[in-house]
Amino acid sequence: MRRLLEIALGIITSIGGFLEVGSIATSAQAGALFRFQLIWPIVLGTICVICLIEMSGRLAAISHHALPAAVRKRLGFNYYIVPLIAETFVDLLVLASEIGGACIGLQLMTGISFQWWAPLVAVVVWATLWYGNFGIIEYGVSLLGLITLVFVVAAFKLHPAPADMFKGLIPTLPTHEKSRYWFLVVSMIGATVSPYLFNFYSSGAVEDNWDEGDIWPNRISATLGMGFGGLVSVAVLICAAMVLHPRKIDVNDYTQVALITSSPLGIRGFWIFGAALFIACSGAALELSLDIAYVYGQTFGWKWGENEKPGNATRFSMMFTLFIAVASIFSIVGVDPLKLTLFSTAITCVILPLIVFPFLVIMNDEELVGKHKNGMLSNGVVFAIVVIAFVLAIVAIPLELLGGS
Amino acid sequence: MDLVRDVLDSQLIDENMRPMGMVDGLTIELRDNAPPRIVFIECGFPVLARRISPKFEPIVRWLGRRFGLRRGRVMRIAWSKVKFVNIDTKVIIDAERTPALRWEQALCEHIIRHIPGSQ
Repeated sequence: MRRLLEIALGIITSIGGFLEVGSIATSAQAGALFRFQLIWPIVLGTICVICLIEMSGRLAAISHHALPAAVRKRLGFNYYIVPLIAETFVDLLVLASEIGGACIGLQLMTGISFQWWAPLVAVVVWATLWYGNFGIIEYGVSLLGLITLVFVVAAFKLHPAPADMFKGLIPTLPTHEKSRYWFLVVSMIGATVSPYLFNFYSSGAVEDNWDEGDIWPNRISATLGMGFGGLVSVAVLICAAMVLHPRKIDVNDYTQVALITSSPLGIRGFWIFGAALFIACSGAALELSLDIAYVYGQTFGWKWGENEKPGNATRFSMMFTLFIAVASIFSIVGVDPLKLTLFSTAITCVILPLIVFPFLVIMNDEELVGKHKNGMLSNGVVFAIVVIAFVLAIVAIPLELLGGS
Repeated sequence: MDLVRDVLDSQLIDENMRPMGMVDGLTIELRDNAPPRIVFIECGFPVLARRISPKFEPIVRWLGRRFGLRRGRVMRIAWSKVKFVNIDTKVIIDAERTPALRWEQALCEHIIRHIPGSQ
C-alpha cells in the first residue's frame, strides 16, 4: 500500500513538475506557427526523457550515487570537466529564463513590469531552498504545479479535431518557414530533454534513500509521470494551435501566450495562466538551483543535500545562493525572458551529447548498477538518443542563427 | 584492484562517514628490484589542473596561494590510512583535522552562520 501511494505521488509530482518556461514558450510558438504539425518533437523528447530518467533513478537506487559522481568516477575528471563547464553555462541561462518566466507570471497578474519582480522571485526561490527541505520541493511545489493542468482543461474546451492532432504525431516536412520549423524542433526537444532533470532526479533519489525495492516504482512513475507531463506540453501546443494560429498571432511575448487560456476560459483563464507560469517557473528554478549545487557537490566530493541544514553543507548552500543571485541579474537588467528561453533551449541541445553519452557507459557498469545494468533494448534506446543528441548538437547553432529570431 | 578505475575520482569518506573530497590523484613510488607501490592519495585543484595539462598546475597553484585557504598546497593522505575501496574510498582519519574542510569551515564561520536558519 505504501509503495502504491509512493508511485501515485511520484506520478502526480512528475506531472506537476514537468512543465516549465521552455516547454510553454516552444509549444506555444509551435502551435501558433505550425498548428498540430509539431506534436511529434514533444512525443520524441518525452520518450527520450522517460528512458533517461528511469536510468538515472535506477543508478541512484542501486549505487546510492547520483549521476555526476558516477560519471566522474567512471569517465574521469578530464572528461567530466567539459560537461561540467557546459552544464554550468546552460543551467545558468535556463535558470535565468525560469526566473524571467516566474516574473512574467507576476507581471501578468499585477501589471508591474517583470524587472521589478526579479529580486523578489530570487529571494523566494533562495528562501525555499535555505529554509525548506527536499520534501517541500519534491511534493509541495510539484503539487502546486498541478495548476498547469489548466492547459489540458483549456485544450478540451477548444474541441480540437482528433484526426488533425494524430497527424501531428508523424514527422512531416514544413511547407513554410522551414528554418523556423527546424529551429522549433530542436528547441522543443531541448526544452523537454533538459540535462538538469537527470542530475536532479538521481540526486533526489539518493536524498530519499532509494534502494533496490524502488526500481519498479521508479520505472512506473517515470513512465507515467513524464508521459502525462508530456501531454500537458501537447495541451499547450493544442491551445496555441486552436487560439493563436487562426488569428495569425506569432508569439513574440508571453502576453500573447496568455490568450491560449483566456480565450477558452475567460478572464479566469488569464489569471490562472499567470499563476501557472509563476508556479511552474518557480518550481523549475528551485530544481535548477539545486541541480547546480548537486553537480558541484558531487563532482568535488563536498557534503551535499537539501535535507542538510545550510551550516552543515556550506559549499553546497553557497553554490545555489550564488547561482540564484547571478541568474536573477538577467531579469533585473531587462533581458527579454522569451528570447532568453528560446536561446537557452536551443543551446541545451548543443551540450546534450556530453550528458547522454555517459549513460551508455555507467548503465553497463556492474560495479555501479550490478545485475540491473541495461539490456540490449535499453542500450539500443540510449544509442538512438545519443545519435539524436549529436544531430541536434550539430544543427542547433546554425538553426539558432537562421530561425531563432 | 584497478587503481584508475576503482580509486581515482572516487568519493573520499572519513572515519565518521563524512565526505571529504575526491581522490584527485595518486602518487606511486617506483622502487629498485621491487614492484611499485602507492604512497599517497592526493586531493586539490592543483592536482586536477595537472591532470588536464601540466601547464595549468602553476597557474592554479598561484591562484591558490593568492586567494585559497590551503595556500595552493595539495592535501596528501598516506595510502596506509585507506580502510577500503568500494564505490567510495574510506580512510581512517578525521576530516575535521585535515585541510579538506577548510573552505567548509571558513564559509560557515564568516558567512553562513550569520544568516538565520543556517543551523
